[in-house]
Amino acid sequence: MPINVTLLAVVARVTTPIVLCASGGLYCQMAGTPNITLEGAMLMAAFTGVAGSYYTGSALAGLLCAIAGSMAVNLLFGFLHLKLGGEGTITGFAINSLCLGLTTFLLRSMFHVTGTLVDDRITGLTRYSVPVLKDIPVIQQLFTGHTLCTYFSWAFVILTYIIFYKTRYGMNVRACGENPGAVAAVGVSVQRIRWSTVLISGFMSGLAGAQISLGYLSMFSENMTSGRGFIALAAIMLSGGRPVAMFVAALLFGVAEGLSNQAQLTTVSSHLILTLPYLMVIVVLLMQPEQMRALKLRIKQMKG
Amino acid sequence: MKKTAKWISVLVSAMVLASSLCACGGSGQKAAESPTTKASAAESGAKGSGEAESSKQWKAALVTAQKLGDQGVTDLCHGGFMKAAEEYGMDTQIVEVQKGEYEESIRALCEDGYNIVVALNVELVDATSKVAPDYPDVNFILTLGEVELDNLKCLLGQEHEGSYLAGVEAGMITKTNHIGFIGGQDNAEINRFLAGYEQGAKSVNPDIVVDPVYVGSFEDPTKGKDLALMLYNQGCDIVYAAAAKSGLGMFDAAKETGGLCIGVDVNQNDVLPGQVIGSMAIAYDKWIYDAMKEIAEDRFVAGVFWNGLKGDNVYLALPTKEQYDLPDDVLKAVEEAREKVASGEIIVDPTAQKDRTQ
Repeated sequence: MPINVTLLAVVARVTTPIVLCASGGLYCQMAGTPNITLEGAMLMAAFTGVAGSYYTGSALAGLLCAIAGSMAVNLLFGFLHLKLGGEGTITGFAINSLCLGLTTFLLRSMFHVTGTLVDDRITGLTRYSVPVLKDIPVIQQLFTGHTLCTYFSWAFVILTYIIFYKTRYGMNVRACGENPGAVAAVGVSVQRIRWSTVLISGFMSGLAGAQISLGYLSMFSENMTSGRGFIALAAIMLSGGRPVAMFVAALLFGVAEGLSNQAQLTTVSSHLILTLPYLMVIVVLLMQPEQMRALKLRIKQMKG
Repeated sequence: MKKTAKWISVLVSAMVLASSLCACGGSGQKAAESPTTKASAAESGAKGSGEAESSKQWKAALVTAQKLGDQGVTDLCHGGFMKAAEEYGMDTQIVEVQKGEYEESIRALCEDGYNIVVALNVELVDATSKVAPDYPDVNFILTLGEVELDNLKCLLGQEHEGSYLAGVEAGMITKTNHIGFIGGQDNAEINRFLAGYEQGAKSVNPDIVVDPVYVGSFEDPTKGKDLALMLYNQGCDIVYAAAAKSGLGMFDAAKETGGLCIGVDVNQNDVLPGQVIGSMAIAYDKWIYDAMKEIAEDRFVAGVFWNGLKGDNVYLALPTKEQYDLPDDVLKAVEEAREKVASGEIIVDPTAQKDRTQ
């Protein structure tokens, strides 16, 4: 199979929205408010982003609208879950279905189309290439013609690492997840920390949504996030809260997706190939340290 | 205090869930409700004037799982349906059904006295074939299904015939001798498009390489674009997508790379002027119009019907000179192939090469 260097570009593109919303969701996860609304928030952002760009003709306005849309979704989640004490998973589930329904409904009532909105008035995000790096063979694929969201997603992973392990705020976030009682005991508001993580998640999901509908394509189509929010959720779960591990997990999915695209050019059955990215997630889930330990234990028991 | 807060949250969550259900139900539910009101009105009307039997009043319903306003297949079907209904003064009802309600919705329409039920697309095949035997007096029209019943007309397209012409065109225009195909799913229906495309291309260009890839979904334009970009990068200069919404990603990829493409289902030649060399269009509106006309004129024939190039039930929509200037020899070859396929001189195999057993 001819492995093309464009694979790198595909990986960068595929992983961007996943990394963006997973790193936002990571904050919630660590603060003990697992946020499963990533998918819904991202879809809402994809829609509000396109709507904003459509009405103003400016990609930047679109991006801001995307962030606002996603933030609104997360505010609702925070209100129901943090303020009113609703169960996180159920609330999140409700919000995800709300977003799918609402975007479909708004698409129809605002633009009088169903399914897809393609229009010249939708301005996409500008693509940038990084000077110097864009001239190095092979690596250039990672630094040519991507949106700022892509570059920001990488920077944000590093930033998250620093915040989590080097700052007081990060410490508080992690403490909220591990022992909220202790956080409250030292006089830090658990509620406030958790609210901040929900808002960070909203911001990042907004960027992710904009990347999908304005960055890579310039259109909105119903349910266009196609489960990428859940892949991000899987990446968060896999990482065990470590930002770099989360990035690697997202990358693995991207590589699997890119490879599966290219593998279609071989004679292997496409049915099998299309399951590759999802198989990868299962395999990685099985390879988690805890799982491996449990497996070893079971093998030992079987022997003994 | 804590307790009230909890109750409020439960209430609000319930409302959110309910509202989301309404949102996706949207017009579907509204549409599904109105038959009952209409039916009761019709009932009271029937009681008033029972003699109006002589000229049969047709009540036609269009049932679709895909929503109207897609500017594609569904709207096309709706157009044909409305044209026939207006011409023959039929009462009409349009129902956008939700997953899980297919059978009940169709049954409800039959109960309400609708005597023409047009069901669109693969989603409704099972439901229609279950309901139809229970209502022998209702005429059913179904697109894209293969069910033999006495009161059901199934309309299918010989997409391989139309795709053959697209293949001829691509085979002559390609400079790299390498063309691509993007399918929504790897199944027999989609591979009919591929089969014709391959055979057409090879008929004019025996050495051509046709690379098929599949999105695995009909509504993932992002992945559609990824695949199209990959095909263009691999040296394909023409890509043909039969993947509904996922196929829209192809146009984006073509715009970025300057590659050529072929549209599907409806005339998509205006999507990207200068780069779309044709569209394999399916005349769903005509199929449905013709079938409803048959019913109204009392010459309804049930059965499974394959609509091909003959009678322009599927056709290759060529771009205008301003959209894409096709060389004369290509136009001539396409026209020749069309005549030969329509007359039966060339028989296009609906099975793609990769699926043929050696």
